[in-house]
Amino acid sequence: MLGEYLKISVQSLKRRGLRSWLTMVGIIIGIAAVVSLISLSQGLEMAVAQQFQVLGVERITVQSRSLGFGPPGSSVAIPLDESDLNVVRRTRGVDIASGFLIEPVMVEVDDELSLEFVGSLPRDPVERQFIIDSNNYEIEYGRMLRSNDRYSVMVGYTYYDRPVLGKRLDVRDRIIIGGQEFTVIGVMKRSGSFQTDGSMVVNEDILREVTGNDDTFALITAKVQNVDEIDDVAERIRHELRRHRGDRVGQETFSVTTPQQLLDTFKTVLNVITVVVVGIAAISLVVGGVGIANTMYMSVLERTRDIGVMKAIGARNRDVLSLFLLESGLLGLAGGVIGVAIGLGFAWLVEFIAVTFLGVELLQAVITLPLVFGALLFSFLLGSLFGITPAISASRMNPVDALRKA
Amino acid sequence: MQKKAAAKKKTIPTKANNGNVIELDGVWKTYRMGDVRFHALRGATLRVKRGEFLAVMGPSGSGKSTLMNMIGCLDVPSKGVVHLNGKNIAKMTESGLAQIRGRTIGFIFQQFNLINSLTAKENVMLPLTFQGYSGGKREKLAESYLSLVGLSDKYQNKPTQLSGGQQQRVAIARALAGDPEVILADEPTGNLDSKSGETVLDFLKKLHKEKGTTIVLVTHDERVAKQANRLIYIKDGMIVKSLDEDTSKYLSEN
Repeated sequence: MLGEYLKISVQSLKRRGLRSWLTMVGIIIGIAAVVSLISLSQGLEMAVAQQFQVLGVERITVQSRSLGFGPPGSSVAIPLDESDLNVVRRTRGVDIASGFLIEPVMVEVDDELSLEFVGSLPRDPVERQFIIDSNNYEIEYGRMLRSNDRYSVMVGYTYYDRPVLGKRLDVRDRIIIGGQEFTVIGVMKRSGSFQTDGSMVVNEDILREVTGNDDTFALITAKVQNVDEIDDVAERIRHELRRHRGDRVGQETFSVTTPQQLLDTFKTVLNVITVVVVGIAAISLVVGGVGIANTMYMSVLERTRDIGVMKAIGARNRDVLSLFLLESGLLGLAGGVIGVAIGLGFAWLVEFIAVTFLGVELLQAVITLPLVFGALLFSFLLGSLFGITPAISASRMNPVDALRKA
Repeated sequence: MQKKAAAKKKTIPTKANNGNVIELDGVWKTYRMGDVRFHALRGATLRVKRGEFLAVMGPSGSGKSTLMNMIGCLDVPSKGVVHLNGKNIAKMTESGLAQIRGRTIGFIFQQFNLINSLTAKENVMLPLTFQGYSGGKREKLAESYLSLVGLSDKYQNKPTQLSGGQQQRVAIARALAGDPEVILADEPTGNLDSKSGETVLDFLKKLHKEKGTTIVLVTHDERVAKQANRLIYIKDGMIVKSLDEDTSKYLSEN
């Protein structure tokens, strides 16, 4: 019986041709927006999660931070230094800890100046290996930076891949970092982490020499002995540093973060964006739904005589009701199918543009079956929902009155 | 579905319906237009006997259509009682009445009233759909009834691709599809040329003669009414003459 109703509904939609298509526009736009957005944000979330995987989950990061009260500039962050690093090193549950110095430095290539981030490797072999591992430094061309190298620099893959500094860098090129000439001794492998791929690495003491920064770190990285205890260890580091730096609870001049926390923060931001855009899409969907309701009312009026005939030949109220509900549901579903197709196409286009022209690999469209089927089911239900009142008015028609409308 | 199909059998004449398929007792139908009341029917009493060929005649505005709606159980009277196979339709639920009406009465309209978006075959299948026949059975029945009315080559045609006479024959096939006890034809030849009209009338007569189907024919055309074996004349909402048997005699005298 449903199959026959389906056929009748499809026929009637087909007969109205252009009008059916126009009615779907609102639904198409709404569903396309929702689908493309969700697929992109899921892709972004996955890509970011991968980034964190690359960086490792057993790492705790300590950074200094200003309290941020009062007018801008009135509070200055107290940087982290060797004594803070020692506190972290001594904290129970910490396996290895190392300071990581990364500074923005003027880099000159063929008379072109540019501010680039330059990272550093410590002299201590254990800590050095730890930083190499956790930042995923591997060599593609040339060789790894050695601890006895002086004015040698290792560059991220991006500098080799594209002319970031006016020209592409390769092994044996000479560049000026902070007024000192360096030789490129290695190009690092593409790591997938944009932070690693887009930075240069020199030895720590050399970076201090060039920048004049004697003992502060941009951040302290600590590896925990047991990943399961990472939150406890982070809390302990927080406690120890608070004592060491004389901070009160809630007014710390530093922050201790675990990868999970960063991931959560990122997800929260992403969710807010998603909610806003989905909200806008919802408006489009409501407008589309009202369009469906309007079209269905027209359809009921136009087919009053058909309704009368169907009732005369044995259709019950609920038969007429389901016929019209099915029809409005199909109207929504058809809009949903087109909307999903456009949405996925748009998401792929954004991914293509991001990768091809911007070189951003974080934006990728992830299409999941629940997303596609959820969107389709939703559009069908939306159509049915907005078709309820017209369908009820059709089903309650008196056959005699309906037949009189010839 | 199976149950419904099995339950669908000809009602055997019982004490309750005295061999009458439809009974109207003192039926009034009053329409209110603002403060004015208009009585379309004023106490019509009528028995539609099983197996008869009944013609209802009357000028336009006489209440003919209202009477037909009552006979077809499409409307409920303002006063009086309508029995369909011995059951008071006022006491039936909407869906119950729709089902029984679908099974008992086959409608043929002056305007053909086919669903334009459906093919001839789909139109004939429609009443069977509402009665819950399975897909295969629906198709077979629809095809056999379309062949019966001589349209075996028009299964897939839409109504707009058919002539008036052909459309009315599709409508007849649709009316017959549910194997009803009564065919209720409202001016079935009113929109047809005389040749097509004759074909339709001949078909109804044949149906009555060979299958014993009860036929109620509403018309204002005496030549059409002549085909019946009983004639009812309605005027101002009242049945003014009821002639048993020799209808043609009455007609020729007037």
